[in-house]
Amino acid sequence: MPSEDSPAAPGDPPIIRTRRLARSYQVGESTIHALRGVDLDVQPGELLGVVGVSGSGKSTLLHLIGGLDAPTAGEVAVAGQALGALSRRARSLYRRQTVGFVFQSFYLVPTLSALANLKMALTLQGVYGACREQLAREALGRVGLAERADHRPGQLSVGQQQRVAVARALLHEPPVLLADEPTANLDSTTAAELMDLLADFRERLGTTIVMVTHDAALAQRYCTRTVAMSDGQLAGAEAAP
Amino acid sequence: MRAWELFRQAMFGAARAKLRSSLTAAGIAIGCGALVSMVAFALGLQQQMERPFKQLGLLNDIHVSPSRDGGRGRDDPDEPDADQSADEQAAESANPPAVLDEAAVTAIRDIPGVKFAYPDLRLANLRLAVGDKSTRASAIAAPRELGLSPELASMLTAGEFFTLDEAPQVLLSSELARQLGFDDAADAVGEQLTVSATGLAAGDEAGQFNFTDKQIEAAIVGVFDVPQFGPFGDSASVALIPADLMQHLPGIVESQLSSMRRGGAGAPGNYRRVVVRAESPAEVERIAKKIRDRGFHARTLISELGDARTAFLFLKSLLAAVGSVAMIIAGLGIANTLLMTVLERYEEIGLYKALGATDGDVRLLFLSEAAVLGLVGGLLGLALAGVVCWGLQWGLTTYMASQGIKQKIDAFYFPLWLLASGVGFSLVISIASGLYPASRAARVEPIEALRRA
Ligand SMILES: Nc1ncnc2c1ncn2[C@@H]1O[C@H](COP(=O)(O)OP(=O)(O)OP(=O)(O)O)[C@@H](O)[C@H]1O
Ligand SMILES: [Mg+2]
Repeated sequence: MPSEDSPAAPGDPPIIRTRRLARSYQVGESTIHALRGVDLDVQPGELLGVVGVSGSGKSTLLHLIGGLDAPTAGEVAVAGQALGALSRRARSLYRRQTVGFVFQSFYLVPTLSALANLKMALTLQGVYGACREQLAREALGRVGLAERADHRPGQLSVGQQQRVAVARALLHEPPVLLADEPTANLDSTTAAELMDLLADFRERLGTTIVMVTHDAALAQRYCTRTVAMSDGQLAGAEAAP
Repeated sequence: MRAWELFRQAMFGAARAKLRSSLTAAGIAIGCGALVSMVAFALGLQQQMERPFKQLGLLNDIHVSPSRDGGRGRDDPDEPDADQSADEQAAESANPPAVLDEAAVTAIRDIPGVKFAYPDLRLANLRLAVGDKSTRASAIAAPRELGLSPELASMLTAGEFFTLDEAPQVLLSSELARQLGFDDAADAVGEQLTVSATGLAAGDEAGQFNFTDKQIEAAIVGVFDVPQFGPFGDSASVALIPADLMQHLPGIVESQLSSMRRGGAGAPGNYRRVVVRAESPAEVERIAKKIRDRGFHARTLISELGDARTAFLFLKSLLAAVGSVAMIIAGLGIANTLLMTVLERYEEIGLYKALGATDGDVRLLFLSEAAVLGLVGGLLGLALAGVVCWGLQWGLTTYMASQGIKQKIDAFYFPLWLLASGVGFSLVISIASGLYPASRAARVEPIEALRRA
């Protein structure tokens, strides 16, 4: 793998492309610059690791790519769609069809069981009936939680909740998966299992994965490429094995 | 399909906050219940009042009498003539007073749309006897054709109406049947009755009257309940006698004399009043006008009831307005509940949006929840109205019984359209109340909402 920001074959168009991407927050008098001009290209099928200290803007970058937040400057294009040009409705459809998101704090609906959480997501995807139930159960089985289908998030361990969140993000087999520290609360064995799952998914479906992690060793082992962020900017890239 | 799934989800949503949802639905139920029962009350009252008129076909009736001031057809003989135009007066004073006799009645019968016409003959003092039992009664002449109107069937408690031949027959009020010893009305049917009448009868020469006493035998063909309103007045001891039979009884002349004293065209053979029945209420006014054109005074019940109907319309609108206020307050309750739900489920909404729910999906989710609350509330409201009205009706019946009133009064009337509009209105109010909370929910920005969690 080349060690520049834009690897792979030059002719291949990147599936994710950000240009001078910036996001700042106005808090009272002061302006916080969470991102200050990020240029990032991700090729289809990459498993990109994003590392960096806390507060360096990793989550912000992921949210912008996922169409959950709008940049204050610059642009993002995913799978040929310039997100800034999308209407509210088109942006919803983009989130629904193109990306899967694993949030840093999972965001499961606390009042719904693990299974119901997945079923609700499928409902929003437009999947109903017996096939919805089956898909949801299969997804839980893949993350090793088939037995805990009827338990609510509060009755699951943090790591188990995280796996439900991963299962939910992969339900509709999106071309792009954005994962914000999916292994943060897992022991090394479970973390490795989850990474195997993601890698398997990527291999099978050619899913492009952008994953934020603090675990350098994990990134070394699984990511095809790793970028580092500091103070809202991309630092020099690190090579993957 | 997607919409239906979201609607189902909304039902779970409403079910999640059970107490709050129930209280909100209860608010709607009370609003809907109040609205429906108040309107049902006004409808019941109106029906109670109009039923006897309808039953007797009185809404189709025109009462024709000779015009007092000679050949002038007017609505109200007691009203001054100020509104009559000069040339109209001139034209009418040229006409001799119109005479309301058998010939005039025959002419009226020929007006298109007239079902039948008969002189309104009444006898105040008859003696009726069956075997050794006898009683006093008043009698009203009825055309034999009256039995053809289906509404009358509901008046009859036993037996049939007159046959169309000239057979001597009478119908007794249930009170009369009781007085004659028939505790069960059905026992009276088929019995022979002696009718004795005493009074003046027209002599052979014009202007000559004889005081006579006459008895006729007639078969009791049916027994009827005297309606509360209508031509029977206060008397419960009334017999209906076919008009052709009545003609032969003495005593009719007295009533004609009284009309003579009033200055009308009263002479033997002239009628004081003729009842004309139109085929349908819609034709009443047209026929009445034709009759007035002939120089008679014609009064229609339907135009008089018109005022009452306006009053009822007013009453219904008033009660509906009061009920609607209750409903709108309940609607505010729904708006409040949903706003709380939106705030409470802010993160959840953000999550759904992050997972790809559109603004429309989220709006639909909350509007559905409002609709579920409205629908459940509306149906509960109907049940509530049913229970409350049943209770009031029971109280009323018991009270009336304690006052010795046997008449059964249905104070409430629930037509299907009222039930449907009760639920429909609940739905509309709750969906309208859900509009603002739902659009608040739809505008939630996913990342802002998620950062709160
Ligand atoms: N809504 C906000 N208002 C103000 N500042 C914000 C907001 N969201 C993020 N920030 C700031 O932006 C910067 C980047 O935040 P971000 O969450 O992207 O960091 P991160 O790299 O994901 O950190 P961590 O590793 O702790 O998750 C931080 O300084 C944060 O305080
Ligand atoms: Mg973060």
